[in-house]
Amino acid sequence: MQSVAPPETPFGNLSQFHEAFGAVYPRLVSYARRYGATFPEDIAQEAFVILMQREEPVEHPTAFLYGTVRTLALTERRPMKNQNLSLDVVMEPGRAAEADDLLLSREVREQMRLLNPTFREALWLFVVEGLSIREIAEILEIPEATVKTRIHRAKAQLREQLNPTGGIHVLA
Amino acid sequence: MSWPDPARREEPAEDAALRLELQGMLGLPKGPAPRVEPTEAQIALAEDLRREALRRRHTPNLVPLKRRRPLWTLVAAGLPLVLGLAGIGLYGVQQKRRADELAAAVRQKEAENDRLRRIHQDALDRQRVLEDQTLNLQQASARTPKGPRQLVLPVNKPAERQLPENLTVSNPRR
Repeated sequence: MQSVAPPETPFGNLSQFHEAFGAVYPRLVSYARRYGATFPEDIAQEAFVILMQREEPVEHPTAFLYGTVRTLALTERRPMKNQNLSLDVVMEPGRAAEADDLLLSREVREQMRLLNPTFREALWLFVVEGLSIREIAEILEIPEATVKTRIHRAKAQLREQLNPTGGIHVLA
Repeated sequence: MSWPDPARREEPAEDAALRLELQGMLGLPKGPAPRVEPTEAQIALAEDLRREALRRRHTPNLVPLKRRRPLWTLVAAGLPLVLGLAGIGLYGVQQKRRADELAAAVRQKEAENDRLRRIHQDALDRQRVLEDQTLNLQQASARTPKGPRQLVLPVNKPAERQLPENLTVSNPRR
């Protein structure tokens, strides 16, 4: 019986890895910048190296990368506690202006900014980054049900923002 | 997206529908992100990172170089501790000496007390023996049978004198 050779990289063969890198790396840089990282490129590259360095295969490589970037960015930020930046500010879409401008319009960014930061993070990963519920749960280290709850609450908040008098119309 | 991602393949239809709905609410382009070919720079960077990962994997026990602290820093940091320990040690030695002296004094006192107790005990024993003897004598005298009571008068033995053969006695009244 011929044994199946393990893939060269967590994303498959070299060309698949290159494609994944081209798709994920700019997003990881943007994600690190959203957490207020001083050197987001370094953090994204370090996350890739950590992933590739692992002997054991990773079930969700994309989630692993996002999770590593999040941890590294938060660790980098730890000595800067005195700057008194809250998660609200950290997850502010405006902090990654050049990256977000490519993805989001000004109105969308404004709507996202008004959301609760906890819900906004889950919504961002789900809608903008295109990650699955399971991946988000892995990144944020919370149960999948909690991720779903946050996304649904973010959706409800968005709906309220888009149609603030909707409730009255419904009642009428 | 040609690279495999198990989570995306296993995603339920309702999650995909929810994403589409939210994308619509936010005015984002619906559906997965368009496939973008990686640039030459990205490929080069990816290869660099892959080589770095391989290098690290083959040197798993590589310990990052740490800046060694100068010896005097360690000495300066440890000096208060050493002085404190030495002070505590001296205090301990002094306390030990005092405790030994007190223990010796206590032992001496106890020995003196024992000696006095023994003397006292000997005196008590002797007195008890005397009392026992007296009691025995009294009991013995009480047990001896007694006859009728007799009056005993002490008598002086008369002086013996040699009486002459013939003695003439004249009556001076006559």
